[in-house]
Amino acid sequence: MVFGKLSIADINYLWRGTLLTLRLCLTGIGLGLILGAIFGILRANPRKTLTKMIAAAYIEFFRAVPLMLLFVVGYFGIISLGYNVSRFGAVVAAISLYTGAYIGQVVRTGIESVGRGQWEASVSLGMSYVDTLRYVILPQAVKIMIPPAIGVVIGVVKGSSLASVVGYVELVLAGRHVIQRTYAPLLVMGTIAMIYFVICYPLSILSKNLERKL
Amino acid sequence: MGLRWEVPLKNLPYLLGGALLTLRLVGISVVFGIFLGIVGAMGRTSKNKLFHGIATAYVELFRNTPFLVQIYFAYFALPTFNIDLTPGQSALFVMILNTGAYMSEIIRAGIEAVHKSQVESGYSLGMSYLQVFRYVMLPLAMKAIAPPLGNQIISMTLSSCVISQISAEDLTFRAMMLENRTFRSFEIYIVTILIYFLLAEFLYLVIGYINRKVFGISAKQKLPTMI
Amino acid sequence: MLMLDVKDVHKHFGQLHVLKGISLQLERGETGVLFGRSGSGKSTLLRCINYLESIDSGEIYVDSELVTPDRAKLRKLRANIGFVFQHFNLFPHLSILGNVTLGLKVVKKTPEDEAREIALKALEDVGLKEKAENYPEELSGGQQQRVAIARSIAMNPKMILFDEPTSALDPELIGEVLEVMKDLSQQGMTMLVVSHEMGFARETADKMFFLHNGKLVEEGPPSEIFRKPKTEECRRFIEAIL
Repeated sequence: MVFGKLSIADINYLWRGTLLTLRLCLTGIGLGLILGAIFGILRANPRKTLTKMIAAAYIEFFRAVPLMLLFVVGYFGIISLGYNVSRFGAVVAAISLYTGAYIGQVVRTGIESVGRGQWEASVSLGMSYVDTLRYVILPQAVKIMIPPAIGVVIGVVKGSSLASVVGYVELVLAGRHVIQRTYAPLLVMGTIAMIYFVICYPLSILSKNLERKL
Repeated sequence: MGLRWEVPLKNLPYLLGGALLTLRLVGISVVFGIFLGIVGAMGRTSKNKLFHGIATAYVELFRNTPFLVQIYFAYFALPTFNIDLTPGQSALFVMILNTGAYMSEIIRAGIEAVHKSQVESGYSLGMSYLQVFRYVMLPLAMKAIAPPLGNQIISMTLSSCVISQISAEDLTFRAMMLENRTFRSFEIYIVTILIYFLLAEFLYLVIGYINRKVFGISAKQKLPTMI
Repeated sequence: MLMLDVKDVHKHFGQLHVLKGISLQLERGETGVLFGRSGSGKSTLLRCINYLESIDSGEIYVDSELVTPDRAKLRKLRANIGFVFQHFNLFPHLSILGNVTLGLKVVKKTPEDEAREIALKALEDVGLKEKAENYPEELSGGQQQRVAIARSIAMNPKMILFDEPTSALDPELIGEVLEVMKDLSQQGMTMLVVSHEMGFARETADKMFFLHNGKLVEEGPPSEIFRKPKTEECRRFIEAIL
């Protein structure tokens, strides 16, 4: 038979994998949002400050390296140096830093898309840079940031599958374990693909709709 | 415990050869992906329900599932149908399909960037259809297509490392081979990441240059899509 | 009492020398109108007074305070100088009331209730009290500009700068804005206005300044400027727009 069969235990196992994927994604997105907000705001500073250059270097670096190898260095690399790291810790650190850079770019673009007139009107009232950001620019920029930020979330969900490469059991690695037990690769990989699709597709529709409304 | 950078550095030619393999695979998948993308975009804009449905399913399936899962699917699941591909073939096959799905959306957006009024003003100047296509539609569409297309090339360059997981030979696969021999994971993978970094930065430069010189676009480079 | 004292201000944009040693004064309570061809430097001069543009040399004093790039001093100074923009620059995410109270709350730390009261009074002055709860996009251009003026008034400024306040408006909406500005002038507000509205200038201005190629080539009360301009450029310019 082409498809093979899955037992209840197999389905449970895949379900647990799904939850672990979600946990990894939510942690990564949560930390990534914090990092991204900080670095994005620093990056958008019109004045050439040291913090701006650090933020720029951070974002520039992560836009040009493969996420999978960050997982590999973060776990296997560190272990090979004789340090003890948990898989979850290494994987979360890598995905958060990576997500933070992407969110940072979203935040920066959002801030920069608010017109110059808004800055000028604010500073001519005597408002400081920080107050202008807080009360005038960010409230307007957030709307612009949401659709691309959802795009980043989709990317994180898909990217989290790469954590399987360092042996972190999430959906894909759970799937590979089930394949070893059942010899039903088509069914298992198909199911896994569908699970990702069910998470990502509604998000991509949402992002598209929100973008159209802007 | 000391770091031994000489391990990856002595094997730099081997790794750089892997980088060329990566670039070649990306090059092939981009060329074929563009053709696939044109067909996909035609489907997405087609009034024929079947064609439209198939194109939409193809595009959305590939864009909303992880590249790694697509690779595993081809590698583990296709043999079920007695389709036996080598790892390299499986990898290239999925890379092309994946690129094609993203290209479909990019090309479709390019087509939609051409507004009716612009086409009409072309005709109102007395241009023929071919002239309108050549001087109005194509430049406008290319202007919308070029930046995200460049971005997609970089995305694929970085994401293609995933194919090493089914033992297709590329830069990352060679790094893994080296690691198996030497156990210097940290040094090897740091150098590998740096090679990807330089590769990507080089592509950013070239693509940015082409966008500026050929298409007159000085738009800020967006981050690559996570595929 | 001198409210505005501009001393020999020079300004370049790259190679372009846009302000070539401008000096002008405005007494407390006076209304000045800056006019001249586009590119003559009048908007740039106005923006320099609020340090929206830096200057290369010269000095600007507002109520004896030097305009400096020092950020703390600059914020204080700007809080005391109103600025009305050509394109209004209202905050689209805030209600009309929110627009007018923001500076009070954030800069002057005025308590909510008091800020609200001051803002409503300012909106009343421009005839838009009933629009307090609306949002900028629901208002006409003329109304938006009046809100922008109220936003400045609410800060109780020493002087208000107007950068072509009516040039982005449909012709039928210009009158209401000029009316508000005239009232303001009559109440004794010090104002410097970049505008080509010569009717407004004739009725309201105490002094007019004609800028040409980055230089102040002529100044005087409207009666003189309109009746017997001293320079050929000024005569021709006035003839062209009247």
